[in-house]
Amino acid sequence: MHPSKGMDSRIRKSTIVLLRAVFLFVAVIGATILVYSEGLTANEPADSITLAYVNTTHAVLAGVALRNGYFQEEGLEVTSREHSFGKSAMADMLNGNADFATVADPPIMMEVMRGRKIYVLATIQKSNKDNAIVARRDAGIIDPSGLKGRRIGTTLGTTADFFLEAFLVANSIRRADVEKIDLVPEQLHEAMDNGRVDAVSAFQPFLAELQHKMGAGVVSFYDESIYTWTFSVVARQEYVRKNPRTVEKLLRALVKAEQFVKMNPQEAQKIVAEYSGMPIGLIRDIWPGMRFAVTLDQFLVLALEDESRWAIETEAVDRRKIPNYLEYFYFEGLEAVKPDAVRILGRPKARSQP
Amino acid sequence: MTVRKRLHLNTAASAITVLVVALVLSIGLYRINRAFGELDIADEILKGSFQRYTLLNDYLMNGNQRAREQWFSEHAAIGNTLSIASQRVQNSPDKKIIAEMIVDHEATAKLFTGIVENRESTSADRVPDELSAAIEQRHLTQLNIRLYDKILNIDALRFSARSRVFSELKRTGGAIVVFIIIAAALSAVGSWATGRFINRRISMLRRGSSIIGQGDLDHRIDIKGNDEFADFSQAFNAMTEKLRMSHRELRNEIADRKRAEEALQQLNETLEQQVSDRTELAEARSRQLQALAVELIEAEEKERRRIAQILHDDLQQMLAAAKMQLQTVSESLPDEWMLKNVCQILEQSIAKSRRLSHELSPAVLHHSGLVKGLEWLCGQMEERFGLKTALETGLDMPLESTPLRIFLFRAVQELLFNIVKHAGVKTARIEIAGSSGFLAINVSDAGRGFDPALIDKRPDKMGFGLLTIKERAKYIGGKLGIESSPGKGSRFALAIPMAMLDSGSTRQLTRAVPKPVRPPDLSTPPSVAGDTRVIFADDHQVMRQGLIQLVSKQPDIHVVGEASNGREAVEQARRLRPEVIVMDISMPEMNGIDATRIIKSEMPQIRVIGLSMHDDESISQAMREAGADAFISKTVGPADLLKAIYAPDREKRMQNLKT
Repeated sequence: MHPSKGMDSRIRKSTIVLLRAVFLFVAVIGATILVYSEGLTANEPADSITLAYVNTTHAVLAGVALRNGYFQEEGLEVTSREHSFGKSAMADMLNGNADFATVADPPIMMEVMRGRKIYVLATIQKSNKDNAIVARRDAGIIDPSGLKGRRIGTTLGTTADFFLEAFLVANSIRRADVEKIDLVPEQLHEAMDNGRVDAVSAFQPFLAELQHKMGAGVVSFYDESIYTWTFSVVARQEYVRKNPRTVEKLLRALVKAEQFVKMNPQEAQKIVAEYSGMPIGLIRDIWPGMRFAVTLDQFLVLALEDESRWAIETEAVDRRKIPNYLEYFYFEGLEAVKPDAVRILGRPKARSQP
Repeated sequence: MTVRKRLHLNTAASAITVLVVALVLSIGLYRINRAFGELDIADEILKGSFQRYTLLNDYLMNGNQRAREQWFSEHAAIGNTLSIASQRVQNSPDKKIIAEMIVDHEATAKLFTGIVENRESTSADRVPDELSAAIEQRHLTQLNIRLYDKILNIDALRFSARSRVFSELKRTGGAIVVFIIIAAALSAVGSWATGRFINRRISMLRRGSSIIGQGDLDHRIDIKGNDEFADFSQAFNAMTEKLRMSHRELRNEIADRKRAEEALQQLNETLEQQVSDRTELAEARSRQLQALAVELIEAEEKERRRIAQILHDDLQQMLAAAKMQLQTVSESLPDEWMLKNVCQILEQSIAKSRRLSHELSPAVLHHSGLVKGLEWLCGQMEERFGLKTALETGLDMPLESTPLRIFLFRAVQELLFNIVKHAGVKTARIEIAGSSGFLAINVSDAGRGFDPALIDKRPDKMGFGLLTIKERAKYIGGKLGIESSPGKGSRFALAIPMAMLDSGSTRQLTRAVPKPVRPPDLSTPPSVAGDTRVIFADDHQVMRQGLIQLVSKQPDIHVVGEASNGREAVEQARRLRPEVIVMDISMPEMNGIDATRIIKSEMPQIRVIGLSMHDDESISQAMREAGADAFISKTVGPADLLKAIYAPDREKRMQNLKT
């Protein structure tokens, strides 16, 4: 054979072998992707849950997850029960009408102190500007000291109640120096307007609505340093133990909503406006004071303990001892979904190492 | 694309890869450094927070002004750090954390201020203790919450910074690896493509060069493109074309040369044939000339011999017969001086005739061979010229060829004459020897000598004698060598092939000598009692009749036969069984010496008396060697002849009488 013909033959054979190797490699990768994608798309039977949530600006992540179908994406068939404030939503959950509820920290504290077996699954929202005291100018109240001896309307057992307590103490006013009138948020404007109360302690969005309705006739007192308001997702412990996968799905959907809200705040505001019926302008006004993040951290423990002391002092509950709130935190769910968000001192960090 | 460009592209790709890797590395290092800076800020805030918490406790426990002022100083330092962090941190989540921390920071100042004011209020402003405790509790609780929150935020910042460090490390490392892989892949693909390209080109070149190398100069390497191989193939094709042209020209030239060579060879062959023919012709002519020369010499020799024979056979015989008859007649006449004068005149005529005969053709040469001839010659040279010649011979084989014998004799004779004429000496030397297949005859002298080169340069100076010797020697395959130098004598070396001594060519020229044949045992013819039965053998009838007449007067001599040659003498001897045969020497068909040798070998009792006009001792010696009992000259008187015939008979008679 001619030497050059041999060289051509070797080159041709090498090319064929190379092409075969590439084809085999592509085939293996393709098959792997196909199998893997089939695994990913294999649908499990959807879990049916009932979520009692606040349809205002207090459970934005839950509202966005519902509207954007994140629960469905995670395999949850959600029945939503809307409430105007968290205490009501949690009561609905505790009454067995819902599996999960969105609620602020004071109602959680109150139910735990009352011996309810609940789990805090995650905090989904925080704010330092959600609460304020609104007082009538015509009642002669122009500064916090003017609240002394006045009738102040508030929803007992809520953040508004706790904020009022903290504000009074911070301004050297004893709680005995004021008269608290228990009102649901929807009654605050009317009570203020008809003079039944001289001032009210309110949270958003009722606070903004009240300020808007009362106009220049009222004065508002804020104090970002004395109270940080949180909104969390809670469930009964029994339910959580039986449905840990459902909890993870719920939390995963909320994390998706968190990403969406952070990346698309204006879209999120529109969604909130749609399901809450609040003016978009009002939502935009209060939006900067709110922080949206799915976490489970030390702050909530301290806040609950602080609120527990207040509840004991005011004899709002019968229990005289502050419980170990860590026993009411369900870490495994969030650790499985977003381990970095579990920030409890002394607890082994489950977050992935960078 | 040229190979050079391909290689440059590969090099450029590698250089770009290095630059990109360096750039990525620089960016990565910058980001990592910035992340470490953020980590340092977080650590600084953490450290300040704990120091501030320590000062808070110090203040709460001791309530002194120093702790309060230090708290505020540390708080301000933390505020500055947060301010720097807010400017330096670019990561959006971290910026939010920093913003929260700044809010908390301000709230913390407000809470601590509340505690200070609650504690340090004047008596007028002092609230009830229960409320004061509640106020401090409320503020401390919030401070604790802020502190915890700050620690967690710092942890988040540190985690974020650390994550970015590792992320940047991964990203930078990954980018470098990816770039290196891409560069390596590009380089590998480029190298593979270049290698494949080069291999294919080289393969085409190799295949083309192989085909061309096998002799197909019409083949062309078909490489198209603008690369070096295409240029090379074009150059190669151009070279092949030139080679093809050169090859064609060379082939044509070779064909032309072959044709020319063939023509030349044909011409050469023709010429060679012609030369050969001419040479053959020339050689034939030369041989003819040499043969003619030899024949001329031989003719001369024959003529010499013929004249000598005439002198000997006719004139001398007649003179001898006349003298013999005159003596016979004179015996019965009174002593007369005139008769004596006539007899002397006859003797002188016989002598001169004999000498002339010898000079023309020495009989001894014919009868007794070369050596005897040369001995005779030496005697003649000394007798006539006073040249004493020493003859040394180691030749022990007979020289049968008469022409050769005559040639050698004449050659030596000529050389001796030269010595006499030119050497200026009175002595010479002849050496005869046979060695190395040649018969060598050297004739030397110690005379004047000469320069042999002169003879080569001027052959005309050689002289006819030397030239004749040389030519004749060459004709028979021999040669004549001359060694001489002025003042140192001369040496002539004549060499003749031994094969010529008995060769067919010379043998043809040689007279055949019949071998002795013993005849049948014939009975002795009857003879007259007491008579001596004699046969005379002589080819001259006058001489033979004179001899018969001479002995016829003797009563006891009975001539029983006569022969005209040796053969007849032998035949009559066998038939007649005489007591005496008077045998002439020179006779036709068979001479007397040969006839004597046969007769004596067959019939030794017969006495043979040699009789000749020759009075040479060599002749007499030859006859004696052949077996002759006596030898006498024809010139002697009748008495001597009778004495020779009678002599043994007398002794025999005396012997008979005694018995």
